[in-house]
Amino acid sequence: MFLNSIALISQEVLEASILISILMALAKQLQLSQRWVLIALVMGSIFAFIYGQNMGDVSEWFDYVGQEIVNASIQLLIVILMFLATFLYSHSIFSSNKQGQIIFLANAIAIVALAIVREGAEIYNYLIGALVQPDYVLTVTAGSLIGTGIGISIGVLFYYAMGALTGKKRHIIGLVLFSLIAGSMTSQAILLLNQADWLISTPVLWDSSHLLSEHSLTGRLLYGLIGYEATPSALEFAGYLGTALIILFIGMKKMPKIKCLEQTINA
Amino acid sequence: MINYMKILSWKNFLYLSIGFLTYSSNVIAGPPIIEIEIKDHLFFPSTVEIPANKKIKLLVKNLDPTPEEFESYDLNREKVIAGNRKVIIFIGPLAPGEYPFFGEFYPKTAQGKIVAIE
Amino acid sequence: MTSIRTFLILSVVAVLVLFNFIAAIQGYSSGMEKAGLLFDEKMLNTAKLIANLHVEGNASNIEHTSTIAFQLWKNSKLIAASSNAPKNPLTDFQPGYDYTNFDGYRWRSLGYYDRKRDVWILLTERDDTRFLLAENVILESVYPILLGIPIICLAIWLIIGYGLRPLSQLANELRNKKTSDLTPITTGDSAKELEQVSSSINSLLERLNQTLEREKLFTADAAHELRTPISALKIQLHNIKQEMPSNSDALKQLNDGVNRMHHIIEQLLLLYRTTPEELVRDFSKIDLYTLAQNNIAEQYSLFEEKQQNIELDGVATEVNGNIFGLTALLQNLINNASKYTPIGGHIKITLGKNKDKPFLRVEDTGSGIPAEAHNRVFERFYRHNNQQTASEIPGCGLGLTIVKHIVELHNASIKIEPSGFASGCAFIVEFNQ
Repeated sequence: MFLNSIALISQEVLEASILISILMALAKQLQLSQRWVLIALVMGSIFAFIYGQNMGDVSEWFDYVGQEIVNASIQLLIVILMFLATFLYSHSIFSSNKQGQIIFLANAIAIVALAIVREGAEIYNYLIGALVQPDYVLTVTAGSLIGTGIGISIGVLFYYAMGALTGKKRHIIGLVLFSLIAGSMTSQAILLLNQADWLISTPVLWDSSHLLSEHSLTGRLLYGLIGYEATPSALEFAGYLGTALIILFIGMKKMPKIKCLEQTINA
Repeated sequence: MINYMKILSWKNFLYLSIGFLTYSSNVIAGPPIIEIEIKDHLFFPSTVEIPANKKIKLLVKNLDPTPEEFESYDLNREKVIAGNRKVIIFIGPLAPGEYPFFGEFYPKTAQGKIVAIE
Repeated sequence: MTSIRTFLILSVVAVLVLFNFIAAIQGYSSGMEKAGLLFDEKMLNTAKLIANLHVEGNASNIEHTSTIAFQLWKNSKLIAASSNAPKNPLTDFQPGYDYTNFDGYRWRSLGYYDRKRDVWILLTERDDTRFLLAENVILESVYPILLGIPIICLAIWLIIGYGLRPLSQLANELRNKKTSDLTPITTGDSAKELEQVSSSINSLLERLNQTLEREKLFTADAAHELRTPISALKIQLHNIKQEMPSNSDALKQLNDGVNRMHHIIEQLLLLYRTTPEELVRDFSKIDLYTLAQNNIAEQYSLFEEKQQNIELDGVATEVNGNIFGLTALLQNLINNASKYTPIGGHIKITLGKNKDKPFLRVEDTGSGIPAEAHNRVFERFYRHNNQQTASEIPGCGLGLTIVKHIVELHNASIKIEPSGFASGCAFIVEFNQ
């Protein structure tokens, strides 16, 4: 139970904390206040609690595949909002425009809150299940704390590492990671729709489980980080690649403008 | 409460819009249903034999009051099942072989495998 | 802005938490593995023991603890078993360890074949109890790591805060330093890293002090050295006037020139004499209304000459300021208004409070200032419409610079608006007091 709770919690927390730290780094680059994170965390937690409590009912929707449909919708919505975030950031038309800044922050809040809703609901279900067993209370609590600590620590270090990079490098690394996260969201959504039989199942492209098992802690952390999967199907892979390329395309398009903005910020 | 008919029509709408990607055959005939029960954080039966190269509908019933998550790395499946509820998970078509699955929330006890045979 | 302190605390704690926790997980995993081996070995010993003790004959129930179950098989016949074991084989007749589910539990199973007696011992042990037992022991060494983290965090917070104290002390000292205080700072000495910063600041302060001293000397000297010859010049001019015909054009031009030079020197001295420290030092409560009244009275000849109508509107308005500075401010604004307003024009001075803030408004019916020149008129030696006005209106372009200077020293603001009349502009000074 101990390792299991660490793996489960750290994976879920890491997914959210990496997303948060990238968005925080972007917001910082645009010299925006970081208070939005708090709003996103509170909103996300509230909705995660509500969703977690009603997981049983949701599961029965759409002929017992409601959970997949709701989760896939959340993932796809996040992907669309990430497209918007990339567009807003890279076109930086709003660096001096109040309205644009509010749209960027509202978008960031929505992305983080949605990510937390899905992950928080899973954590909530896990904890209510595990904590009713007196034998496991201490173990699961310890494991959850360690998992949370690992997830948040990586996020914090990642945020400062992004800040330590210089302008262009930071932009490229941030963008690439953003594209991988968005890609993993799409492939997860496709997997969920497969599972619900709403999408045709396509053959598995490769099996890298002997190189890095999804079962191992590293595998699970990598899954949380960039959606690593040992046996991806063709459709998942296509969705992943397509989404990542769209993000890169939107983000790379206006590179010169970013440079200008950075210069004015650094000046 | 949820208007079930409305949701069904949503689903039909989605089927139409992504029709070329969906399996129209299973809408008519439907894949075989295999039942698995969860009790005291154990799977019954813990070994499930299914025909290979065919889509299967797994009906997983959680008889425990606590939630469980059906998870399998080999099948790429993951789904939370609330206490005293049932869910449906589609798997396959699978190549012949063994596909272990486990309960993510109680992996020490809830273990099982699906065996796909020709 | 990133806080060095927050950065240090968060990143150090993050690294610490990450590696401590990973070490804990590593310790836990290998501990559990070793415990598993130990339990397996114990099972094997138990199986051997059972094989050695087995009683030939019919199947019999043997006392046992509920966490293990076993069967004794000979020639595919169950000859002895614990009462909790089922009738069918507990596990395959294969030597070695495996897992099995029965009786609502998951069990670790062992198949052991005793060659000498030709018996199979099938032994199972409850996996959950095995696991819990091992985990409880191993977790005892993980808890201290977890519980230690808050204490370590607190210690890091205090240590980093203490370590950065010289920096915050330096910042405090600089923050609390008065603008006129040019004495060297002292706190930087305590930390090696700040030595350079503090010595640089100190040498900068010293150079600034020297420059200011020089400027003060220059002003005092200039005042004396320039005024004396001008006074002499004026007296000589007065004497020449007595001897020459009064309508001499050259004499009039000479007179104007000397007067203009006198004015420039007075204004320049005024600009340099109003250094912040001197002005702020003797701030007092001053009634702008009385000050304006006196000012108008003093300059009344100006208005009379141009037949201008001057009006003072408002109530007694007290501000905290320097009498010398405020007099110069009013004088310059009123003088300007008169200068740029044609003969027979109108000048209006309004005093009062706008949302508790005292304000002064001087407006006229002059030619006005276009918006694009609003900022430029306060620049040194800038004169609006230079070519046309220079010849007609005397002035050196320093008046509004002095006004602006005084306004800033009084923590006030100045802006230009179109006047309330048909033409002209209004200067509005608002005091933030």
